[in-house]
Amino acid sequence: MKNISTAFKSLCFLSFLLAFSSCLKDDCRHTYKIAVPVYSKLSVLRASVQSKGPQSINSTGKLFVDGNRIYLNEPGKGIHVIDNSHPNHPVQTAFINIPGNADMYLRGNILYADMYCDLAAIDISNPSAISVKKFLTKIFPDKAAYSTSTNPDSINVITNWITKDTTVSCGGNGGVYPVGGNMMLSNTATSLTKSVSGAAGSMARFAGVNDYMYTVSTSTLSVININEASNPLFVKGKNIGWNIETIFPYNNKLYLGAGNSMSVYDLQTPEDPQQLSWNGHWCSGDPVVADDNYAYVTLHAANICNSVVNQLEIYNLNTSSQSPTLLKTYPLTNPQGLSKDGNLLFICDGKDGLKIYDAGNVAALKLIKQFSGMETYDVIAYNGIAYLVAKDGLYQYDYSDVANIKFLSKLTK
Amino acid sequence: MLKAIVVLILAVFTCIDLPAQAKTPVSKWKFNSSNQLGLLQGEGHTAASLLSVNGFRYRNFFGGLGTGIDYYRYRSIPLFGEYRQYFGGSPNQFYIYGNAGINYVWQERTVTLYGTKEAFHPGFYGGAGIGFKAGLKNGMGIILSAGYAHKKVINVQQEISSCPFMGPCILSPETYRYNLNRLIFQLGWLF
Repeated sequence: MKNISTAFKSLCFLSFLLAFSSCLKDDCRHTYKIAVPVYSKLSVLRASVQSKGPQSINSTGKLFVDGNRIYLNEPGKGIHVIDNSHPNHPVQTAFINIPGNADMYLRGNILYADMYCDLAAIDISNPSAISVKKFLTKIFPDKAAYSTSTNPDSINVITNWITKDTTVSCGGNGGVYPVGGNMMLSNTATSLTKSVSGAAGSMARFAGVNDYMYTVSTSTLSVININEASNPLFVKGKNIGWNIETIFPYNNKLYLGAGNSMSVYDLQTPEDPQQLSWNGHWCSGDPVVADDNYAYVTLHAANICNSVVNQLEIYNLNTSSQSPTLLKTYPLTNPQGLSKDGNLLFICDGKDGLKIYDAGNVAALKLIKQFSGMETYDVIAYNGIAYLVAKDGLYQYDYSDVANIKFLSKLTK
Repeated sequence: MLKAIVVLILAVFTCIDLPAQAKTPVSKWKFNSSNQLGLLQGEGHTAASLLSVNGFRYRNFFGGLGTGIDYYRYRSIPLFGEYRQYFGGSPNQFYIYGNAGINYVWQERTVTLYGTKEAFHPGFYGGAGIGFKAGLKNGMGIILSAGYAHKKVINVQQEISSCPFMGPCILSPETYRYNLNRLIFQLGWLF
């Protein structure tokens, strides 16, 4: 009797288990952001390049200094024109609306600026009434949706993204995965290069040498003839690797900073730069500047490689092999752009502010001044004034008297 | 595998020869600890578990707190409350149980070379089933149970999608929510 009762209970339990066996399925739900591109016709974007009155500075980008005028990029929007006749009191005079703009170079009265996939040549004789002289189409093809057309009415440019969350079953298809690096504007650094008419920062992707302008995308070096300034002519583009970030011209050479290297290109044949050397380093962001004897490279973390390396590297350029050799490294906090004038080395060390070193002896740099309280990105040291781009605006410092480097002015958001 | 387990349990239950009813009333609160080694059978996956439930019994009611290790797909530490209802007055008793709590994945937060970060968040843990206690001397016993166990695992992955000129790189978060449903068969020691 007892066994019958036990067996009955067991049968009940067996039924219970079998009933539940259908619940054994594991379930997985995947939630992610999808990004849907918003397109604009290139012709519409070109028509929007125009002068406006002074605008508030909402975000800071790259910088170009030309005499008494400063050109400050607002990433993706355009360029603020600043009258710097009195560095202790800079005044915004105009804003040049250039959608998708990230970089610039100036030659005389012609401003070269990227506008998504285009390179625009803009006459800025009067910044309040600019005149677009020419557009070079698809100089930066990674900024345009794929198209074989060169007709601006047929070229679609991704100008924005609409992002939203979506949930799908883990194993199924569905949704549009976020676009990777192309989703946002490319990381155009501001680099400082001494050009004929002015100076750019160490994080720039544009550089000018004599009658040529050189631009870098993530993998391509483009050569543009600007002998006739208002009529730039595309010469050629050459593949130069990957994750290229910055370009710095010096002494008839181009110093290119990439995510994992610094390379040097010779400009003996300006229309066809030739690689002289390649130096690898930890995967990190790396603007580079150079003088007659050394190249100075800052490596900073918080980038696509998730590197933790933050340091200054100094390379000796006077080697028999023509390949720079690493001379010394200096640990820093989170170095970004840098600039050099004479023996003074200016380094933007992230939230640590601006650091100014005596680089007379590169094996033993001496910190002679530090300005803190801002998150710094790039600096131009030019004719006794250091122009500092920080997260909250544009700072200027007078370093004409090295023993008394002083703050001049601040132009904030 | 599942069929083999079910047949084994059926055989065990069928062959159990219950002794004559001997009344052992539990009329006062008594501490009980049950420690069980388990077999988890899910959709195409089998794993082990080790659970310990400690609490107090009064008459045929038991309530306690449990923890242990659950190796099903993701190694995790469940923390739960459990209730049991015993039947009969003899040392050998059937019981039903139910538990509910939180499940913590035991895994290091990882960061890959190219910036993908991964982290696990706690999720629900719970289940119910039926068991049998074979009483031994001094209130100790061997327990055998079978039931259904559920645990939820939440995995958040953040991948660097792009790095702008200024500021930190942009992270693109993706969330995976796993609802893991298993049969659980346990054998253990109770004291």
